[in-house]
Amino acid sequence: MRQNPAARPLLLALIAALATVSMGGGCRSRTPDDVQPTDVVPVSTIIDPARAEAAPQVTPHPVRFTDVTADAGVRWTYHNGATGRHLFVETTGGGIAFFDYDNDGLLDIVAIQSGPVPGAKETEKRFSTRNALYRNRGDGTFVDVTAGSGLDAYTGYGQAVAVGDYDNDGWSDLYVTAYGGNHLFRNNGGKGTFTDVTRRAGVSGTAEEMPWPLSAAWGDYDNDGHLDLFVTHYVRWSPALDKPCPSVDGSPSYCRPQVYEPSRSRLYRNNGDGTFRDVTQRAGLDRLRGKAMGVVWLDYDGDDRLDLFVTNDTMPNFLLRNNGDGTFTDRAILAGVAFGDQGESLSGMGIGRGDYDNDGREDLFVVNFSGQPKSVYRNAGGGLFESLSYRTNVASTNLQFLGFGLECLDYDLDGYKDLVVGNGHVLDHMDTATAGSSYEQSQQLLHNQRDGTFADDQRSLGDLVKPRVTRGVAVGDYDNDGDEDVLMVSQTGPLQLYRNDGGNRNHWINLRLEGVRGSRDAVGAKVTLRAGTLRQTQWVRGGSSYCSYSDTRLTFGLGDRARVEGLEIRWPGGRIQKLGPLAADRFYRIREGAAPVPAPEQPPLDSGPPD
Amino acid sequence: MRRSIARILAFSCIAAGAIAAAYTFWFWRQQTRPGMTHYTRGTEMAAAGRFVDAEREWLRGVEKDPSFPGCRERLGDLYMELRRYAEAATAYGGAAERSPKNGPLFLKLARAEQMLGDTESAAIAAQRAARLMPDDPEVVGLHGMLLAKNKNIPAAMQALQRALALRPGDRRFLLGLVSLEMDTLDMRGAEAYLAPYLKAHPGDAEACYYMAVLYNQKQRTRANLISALDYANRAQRGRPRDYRIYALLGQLYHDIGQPKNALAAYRAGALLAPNDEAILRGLVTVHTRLGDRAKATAAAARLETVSARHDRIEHLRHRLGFNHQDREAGLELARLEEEDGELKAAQAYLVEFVRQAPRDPRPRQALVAFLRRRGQKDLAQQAARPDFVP
Repeated sequence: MRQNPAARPLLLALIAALATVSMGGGCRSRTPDDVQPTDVVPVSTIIDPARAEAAPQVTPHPVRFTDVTADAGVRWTYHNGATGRHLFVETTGGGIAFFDYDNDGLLDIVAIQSGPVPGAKETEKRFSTRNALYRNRGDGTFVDVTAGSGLDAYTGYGQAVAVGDYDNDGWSDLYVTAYGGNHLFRNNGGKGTFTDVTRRAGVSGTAEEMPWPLSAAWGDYDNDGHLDLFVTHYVRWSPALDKPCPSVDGSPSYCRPQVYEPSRSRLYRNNGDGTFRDVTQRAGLDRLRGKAMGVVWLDYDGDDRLDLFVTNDTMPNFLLRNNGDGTFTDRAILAGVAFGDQGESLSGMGIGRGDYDNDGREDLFVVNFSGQPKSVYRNAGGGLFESLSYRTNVASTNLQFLGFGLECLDYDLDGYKDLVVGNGHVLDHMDTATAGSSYEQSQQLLHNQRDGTFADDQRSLGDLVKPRVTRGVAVGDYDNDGDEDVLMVSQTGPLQLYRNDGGNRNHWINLRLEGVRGSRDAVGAKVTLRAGTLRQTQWVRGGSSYCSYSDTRLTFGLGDRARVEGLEIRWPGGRIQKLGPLAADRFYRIREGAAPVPAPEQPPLDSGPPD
Repeated sequence: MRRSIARILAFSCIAAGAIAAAYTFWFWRQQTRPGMTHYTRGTEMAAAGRFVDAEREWLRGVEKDPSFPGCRERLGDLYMELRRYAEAATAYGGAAERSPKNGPLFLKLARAEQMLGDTESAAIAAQRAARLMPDDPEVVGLHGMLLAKNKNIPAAMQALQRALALRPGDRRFLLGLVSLEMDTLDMRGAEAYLAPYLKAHPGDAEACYYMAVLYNQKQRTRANLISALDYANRAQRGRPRDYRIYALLGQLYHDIGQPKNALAAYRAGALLAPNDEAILRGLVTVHTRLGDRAKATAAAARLETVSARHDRIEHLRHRLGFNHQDREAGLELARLEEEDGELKAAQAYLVEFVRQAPRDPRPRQALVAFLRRRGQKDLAQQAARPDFVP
């Protein structure tokens, strides 16, 4: 434990201040030089639970995230296969998803395993290779249904999972990325099983030399009604290319990404017949080399065509504008999302997306390496973003945290998007190497203060305060009580389910959209809601966070408003549908062009007041 | 009783006499040993400004009396003056081996190794010095600063705190600590050091810069922005050629809603550091905000080029770190460093690869071409000779 370096000057400063006051000097106007540091606390990435409980309440009513993993029957551990050799590939994995694979209106869980590292010796192959599929029973518990589901097959050194109904049959399919080769699992529609169709579909991703894929995202970029697929690739690495990078004290450690050369991400166009074509070159993306970690499809310029935002580790991010002719152009620098506030390439990891200032435009959030502020890119319209990391106070929180997963969610349902960040360092010797940092770290909640700023909300963390080495983060309302819950996975650690308790003291509405003319998942559909003075816009997600997929239903927080006056849906392709009024605290399914119908997950009418 | 006292006195006198005689003998041996003779002669020559003779004398001393540390130490002093740091480190190292309890000697060794750029060896020497002279702020402070350079942050902080306690108010130690606090993102800790210091030294440009950075990290209130601008402007007045200050000023003016002032600051910074990414990004942002799309696009294109180059440089440096003889990486790195305006670094890489492989025409041709581009035709001609090894 390091000594408090500020203690001595603090004492001197206090003595000096007292002397000044006693000598009649206390009435001078305050200038910057008069700063008297009175609240010097050591910076730490492990939040003291007692301190968190005592932190100021920034939400309108108390909210707490409770670890219900064990009670829910979720018992699965992610293994990165680390054996002390510190292979670079060990640092990135941990993909999870909330999705409804059996269409019963209840969110199920899938988690992707890594297991033994590529090239591992026989003696090191003791790690589990088992993915996990948990079916939601609807009573707050899950049952492990992996065996026989088709996902129990070894899928290689798994990294991420992406959920999408690529064949428009109404059942969510899974794309699993893995070092050395990816897998597409087709949902067999109501049978509770999946079939590996990778070879037929042509999306293994092995065409790229030394493929190390991370996040993937589904989105229909050519508006042909079929979901296409973008897969980020990290660096050119193989066990033979791995370098020894000792830490300060000489012990083995992981290298910095700069040691390895960047790689090319891949774009697959859905042919609509169960097969895909690698169109990376045709789309003009083969020239772009990055160390890509996170990806989202979004229409940032409002031209009804899905563009791509890709975060890169230690390199400028990409904002790939869809030119409408099957090609993309990187506009990140001009649009203002390539760099941090200081013009430096950051280590972009997970991506959060959402309209935090309710101006009808989708903003972007990125978590970066420790020492780097989280990026807030406010969509200013006209294809431009403003970097507001400092102005939103997001950069003013503890910069020591190293975030991977990030999601936008309105956890107190006040009508404004907040953030949840999954933290955990890359270097396993961090506890001794740098003051104030640690390998396992507490998670963070950043509450939207409704004035364009965010506050570090330690009070609501609850069990999220527990230090973990978090990677994947997904959000979704697994218990259908109206507020979104959080799923996380950590490096060589358990899959964790955190229930949102108290978020639903505000009103809400939940929408599940189904496209007809476009893709069934309606990725990118824009929904604008009007409730009293509240105007809120959300888009059906096409990727977010890091290596993970969240619930694609849309949860709108309404605050104290018990009714939605109107909804406007802009479907992919540009068709506009107006709906409303709608009662709050309900789930709706909206099929393109049809009136909303209550969803099967509808809570009973006599369900009483929210918790 | 008296008898025994007399006996004790007599015994004490004999013992004292023996000690004095032994010391005199040792002193005489020291003074008359060959090393000391050369040491004294060399010192006199050096005092008379005859440094070449002095060096010769001390070298003779080393040869004739290898166990005597004095001549090696003086040689080290001379080489330090002549900026021949590698030879200085060797000389001090040899002296230190022979005089392992000489704290000041280890301090000198640490400084020589620091000048050589070998901060790890320097830190080890400084640690030895600090153990021998634990209450010397200079020694403890140097140890702390070397630890900081080697990224051993907790130990560096401890050493610098001790140095500051031994010599309160020392600017180097204080700013070293501030820098460390900021590196570890303990902004409050940094402020606790800086605030009282700046009260006493309001015109210290470096401290003002640190404080401006610190305020830049705080919540984005107008009051904080004004304070940050005040500090940044003070820093700029003290260090008008420090491009980092212009990058910061540009950002602060932009955020406070004065884009024209921001543009002026970024432009001033761009003159000093045309390849600085923060300044280029600032130019893109401000031109965009002022509606000058053409200039924004031009700045963006330049930023893209510079950023790609910096990424590649970083990668190549790592590659060379793993394999010092990776000529392909070294030559590409030299070219990129030159493009980036880092001429010294570029030349150093080229020279190194000519040394490594004097018969390989590629590094030699690259060095010759580099020297020609720099207008050093004589040197280029010399370097073009196949037998020339720099």
